[in-house]
Amino acid sequence: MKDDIQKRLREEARTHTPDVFDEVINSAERDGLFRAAPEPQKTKSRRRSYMRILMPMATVAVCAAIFVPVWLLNRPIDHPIPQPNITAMSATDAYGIGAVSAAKLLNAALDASAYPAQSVYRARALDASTDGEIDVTERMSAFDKYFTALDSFFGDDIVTTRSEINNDAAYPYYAKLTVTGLDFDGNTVEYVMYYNETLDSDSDLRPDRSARQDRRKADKKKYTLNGVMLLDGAEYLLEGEREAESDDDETENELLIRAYADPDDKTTYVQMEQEISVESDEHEVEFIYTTVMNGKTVEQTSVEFEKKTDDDSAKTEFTLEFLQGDAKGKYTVKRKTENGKTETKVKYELDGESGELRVEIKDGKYEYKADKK
Amino acid sequence: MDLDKLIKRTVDGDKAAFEVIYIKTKDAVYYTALSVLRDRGLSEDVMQTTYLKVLKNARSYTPNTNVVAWIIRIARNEALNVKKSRGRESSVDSDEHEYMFGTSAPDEYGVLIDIARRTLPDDEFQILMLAAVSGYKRREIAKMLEMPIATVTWKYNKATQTMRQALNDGKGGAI
Repeated sequence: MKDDIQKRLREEARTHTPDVFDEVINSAERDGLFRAAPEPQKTKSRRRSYMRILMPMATVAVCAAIFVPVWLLNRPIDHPIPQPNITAMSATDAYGIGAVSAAKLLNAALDASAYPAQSVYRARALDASTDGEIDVTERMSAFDKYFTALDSFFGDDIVTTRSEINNDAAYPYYAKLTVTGLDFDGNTVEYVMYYNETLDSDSDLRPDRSARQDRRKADKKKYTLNGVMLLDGAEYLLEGEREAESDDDETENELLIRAYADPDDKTTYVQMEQEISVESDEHEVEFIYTTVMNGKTVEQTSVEFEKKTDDDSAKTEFTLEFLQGDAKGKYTVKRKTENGKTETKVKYELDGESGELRVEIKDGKYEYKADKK
Repeated sequence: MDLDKLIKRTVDGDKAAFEVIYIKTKDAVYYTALSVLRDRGLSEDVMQTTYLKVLKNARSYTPNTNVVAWIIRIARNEALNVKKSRGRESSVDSDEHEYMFGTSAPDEYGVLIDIARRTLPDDEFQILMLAAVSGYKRREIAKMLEMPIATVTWKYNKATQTMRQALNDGKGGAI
């Protein structure tokens, strides 16, 4: 995968990138751009008072680190901890959502290529000027595909993932992951994935580098995934990688999953790359989907997700940008739940054209309607 | 480490703060210059002029607007100025401009970086190096270069495909 090229470039850059720091400093000092920085003012008594606060906190943190995982492990497998907030998802949540969404998009891409003349959905909008209807199918087709694949994970409904040791001999993998969500009619749906996850033994090894050469964070682990996803009666081969990186202020997880329809044909797949960044109180999640058909990239889409909650309402916003050949577009979805009622709107910008539509569900499909003015 | 705070300390003359900024951005600056100039010596010169400009203009940096993007813009402008002035000095014979992509020099650049330097367009080379060497995420690169994320992803994937093809064609070892 691309990581091999990245790794080689990084290694070469370590020994081939020039260092001009000394030249810059010499020139800057000649120009009088630096003066001596003031000495730090900390005193011994202040350091002692910090320790009086920090030691008990450290003790509590150590105890929590020991006992909380034990408590979590002792929870019965059949009653998983609910994970309604996508911005706080675990690795298994990420695998589940990534694998399901990639497989759904691959399914849609294969249907479209097999039956290009068939329209699988229609979107209509009320024309504000005439009271008639206008067809917005073309404007919303890219959006509808991704919204359908991802929306059940982004709503306010609880999505759960359950990971357990696999006992099904038909699938020779160590773990079984069950992803449970809701369909358009509010019925519970389940997706099952069987997989192995292997820790890369070299991932913790880091060559000793001076502070001037090292920009990397303190702790980084890499895992390899392989498995199979069962979706709507079909099996999709899965391959993937996960990297978890953390330092004092920030934790980042990156996940890449590819879903193949045919295990003997690696030229057609949907790839999902996911980046999650947690920094202080901010959570950002980004999904990047690449559809490759017969070795050719036909579409790329990125989805950025942000959720905010205040006292009166919960607001979810996500932005979807796509490239399909020469066509490109941007959609911004805003969902607001207030007093038990949910309203979803999508603003689109497509090759110079823009507008806003309401999203409703009818007969198991999304419908897009413009508000009458 | 908050780069905005470090820039502020640099304004106050804190050399150690400037050194951290330098460490965190030097790869991005060098490869941004190299994406324009395709020459190590010229790109080194641009690195120096870029950081001197950072020191001289740190006071005018607008807080919370992305320090790295600001520094990369300075580097790119410096590189473009050099390219323009060298273009005025050069002969109009288009063959003379071959130096811009140049002959193979793997010892000087590294095998893969040399291939990238000679085969990729400016933007693909810059995006590839920002991601691979400096470790920036796609969304960070999109904000730095003021491009849609999907465009960054497309160009990055195109760059890696070109590199893989070049390698498989035997220009630097199969991958």
